[in-house]
Amino acid sequence: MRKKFRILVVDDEFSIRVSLGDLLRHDGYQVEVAESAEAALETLKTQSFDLMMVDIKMPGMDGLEMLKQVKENEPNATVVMMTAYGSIDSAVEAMKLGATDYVVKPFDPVRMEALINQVYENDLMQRERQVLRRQVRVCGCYGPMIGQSPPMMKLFELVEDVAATDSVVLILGESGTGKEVLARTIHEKSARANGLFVGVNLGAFTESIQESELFGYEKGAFTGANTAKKGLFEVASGGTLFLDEVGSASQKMQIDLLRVLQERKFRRVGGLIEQEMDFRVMAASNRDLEESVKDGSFRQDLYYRLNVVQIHIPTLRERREDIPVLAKHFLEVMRVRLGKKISTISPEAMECLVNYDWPGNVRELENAIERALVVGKSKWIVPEDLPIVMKQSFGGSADESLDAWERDYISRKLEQYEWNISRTAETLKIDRGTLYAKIKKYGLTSGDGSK
Amino acid sequence: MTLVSDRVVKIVPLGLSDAGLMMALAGELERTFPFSYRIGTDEKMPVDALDGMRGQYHATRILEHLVASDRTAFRILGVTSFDIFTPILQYIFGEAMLGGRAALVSTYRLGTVPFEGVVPCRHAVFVDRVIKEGIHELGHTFGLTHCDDHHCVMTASLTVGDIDEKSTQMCYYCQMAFKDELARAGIAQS
Ligand SMILES: [Zn+2]
Ligand SMILES: [Zn+2]
Repeated sequence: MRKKFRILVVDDEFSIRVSLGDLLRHDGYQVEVAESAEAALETLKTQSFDLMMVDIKMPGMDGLEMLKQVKENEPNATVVMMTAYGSIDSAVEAMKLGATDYVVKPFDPVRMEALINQVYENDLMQRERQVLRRQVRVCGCYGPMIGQSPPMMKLFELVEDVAATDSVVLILGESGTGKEVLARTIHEKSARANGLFVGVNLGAFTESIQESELFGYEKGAFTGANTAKKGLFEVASGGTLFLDEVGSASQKMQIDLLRVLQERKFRRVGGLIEQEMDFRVMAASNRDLEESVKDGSFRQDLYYRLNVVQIHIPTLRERREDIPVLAKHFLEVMRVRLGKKISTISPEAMECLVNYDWPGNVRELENAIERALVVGKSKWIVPEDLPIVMKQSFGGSADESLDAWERDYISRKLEQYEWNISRTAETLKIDRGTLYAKIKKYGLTSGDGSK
Repeated sequence: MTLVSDRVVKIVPLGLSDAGLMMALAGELERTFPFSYRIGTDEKMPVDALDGMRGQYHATRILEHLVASDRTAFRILGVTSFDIFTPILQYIFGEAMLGGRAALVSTYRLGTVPFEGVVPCRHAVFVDRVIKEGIHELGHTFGLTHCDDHHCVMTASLTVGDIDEKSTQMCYYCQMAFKDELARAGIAQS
């Protein structure tokens, strides 16, 4: 039950596809099989994998040729070659072409396990590094909850009521609507205001660090645990624990959370002393959790525990009347921070802002104002200072703005997935060839020069 | 855990007659999986499962044979004294249909001292290993996959040393997954 790790097995021999597929499924991996290199490459157009296990000798295109093509498209792909006894030469050739390793069929179980674990752990480490980078980047706060529209007035009333209780709160809303800001606001108005507000993004968590991060651990609980460490449950003691992107919690994490919420007690990893749970839980999600319960990816029992009080934050386009006051607020804050003289927004620019649809909600608005202050050359913000997509609602050629919108969108997705072509293509729902073509067309390059 | 007595798990000895071992196995299985257990009579190994080149029996074929041999049993656990394999691995201790009805354990490689290939171990250690692998393989038929907890019975064991290190118990997560599976299958524990 451990892994969201996807493996592609490519072998012309039926019995190998079946037995290797079964073996990996028993380990909890998600497995796809292909009976030829051609079929595998076809599959790779629409799906991406964390590991490919490819037979070297196959009729038609052989494993080495497939390896070459895979590596051309995706230099970071992890490919392990499989060979029969006596064809070690081609295995060596494969290593030169960039294969991660090779194994001789039938596998020695011990060697096989070590190999897969190593690949899996490398992948985890890479993801963890990405998580750290992402956390640093995302931590910007986007201001307190601001608005005078009817939906916001209702929301503020609810916040007052909820702050007076100690119930579990589930906050739903599109990304960028300010779920964490709302949680913080409730915390600060509650009786736990003197305790800490501990926010943790479960979407950015990988499984190996989850358990020890949340529960803490005793010295010697596992290799590398040289000292005892407090977990977030303890750090949040007396305060509030905010679980962001709770819909992305792994199955294991869901069980952990359910257990703590049910028993109201927890123990450090490797520890014997039970501690009382003394924190309020708030959770947030930008997905429809009820949908996730239906498709089985989210536990129903946990959903009931979290869904005691539900708060829905409206999108920015549902409260357009708040846009001017929000825009002015961000302008005030950022003008000081950036040391700029610009102090107003022109009526034309404001019209663009109010008419735009804001898929990224308040956070996107904040970014747009910041950008306008950085690039702006006149005494107030004019439409030219705004991203082209926003001017679309005001004027300009539709084609041009569509291109700009696409360029902007793709570039953001690429950044989000650290320029992992497969994953980005997957979320954009286009194949990797198309993505490469777009990158070329728009002249996109990775900002930090890595990869 | 209370017993779900109308679900029968059949234990089938294949080319092995050791009533004591079967009884011990059934007793321990019942503590983990709350069903009724019936020990069948000793059966011969299916001839078509033997791979002459490898001198081992093809585990998947034996599982298919077990499923076909009994259409009513809730689960079927074969226990054989012969060496078994799947095409991708040199050897295995057992095999099961993930989320299916049949599981199989081979005692062939379970009777030696770790790292001392040929030195026989104490009988109690041997019995303990058969029990752990029996629970493990039967666990797979309830959809449980391998567990990272090295003490959990659902951790993958590649050597007899690995088996000795784990317990006969499922960890908390695997127990939850098992209960979830029972609930999904609509089996109430009365
Ligand atoms: Zn297993
Ligand atoms: Zn377990």
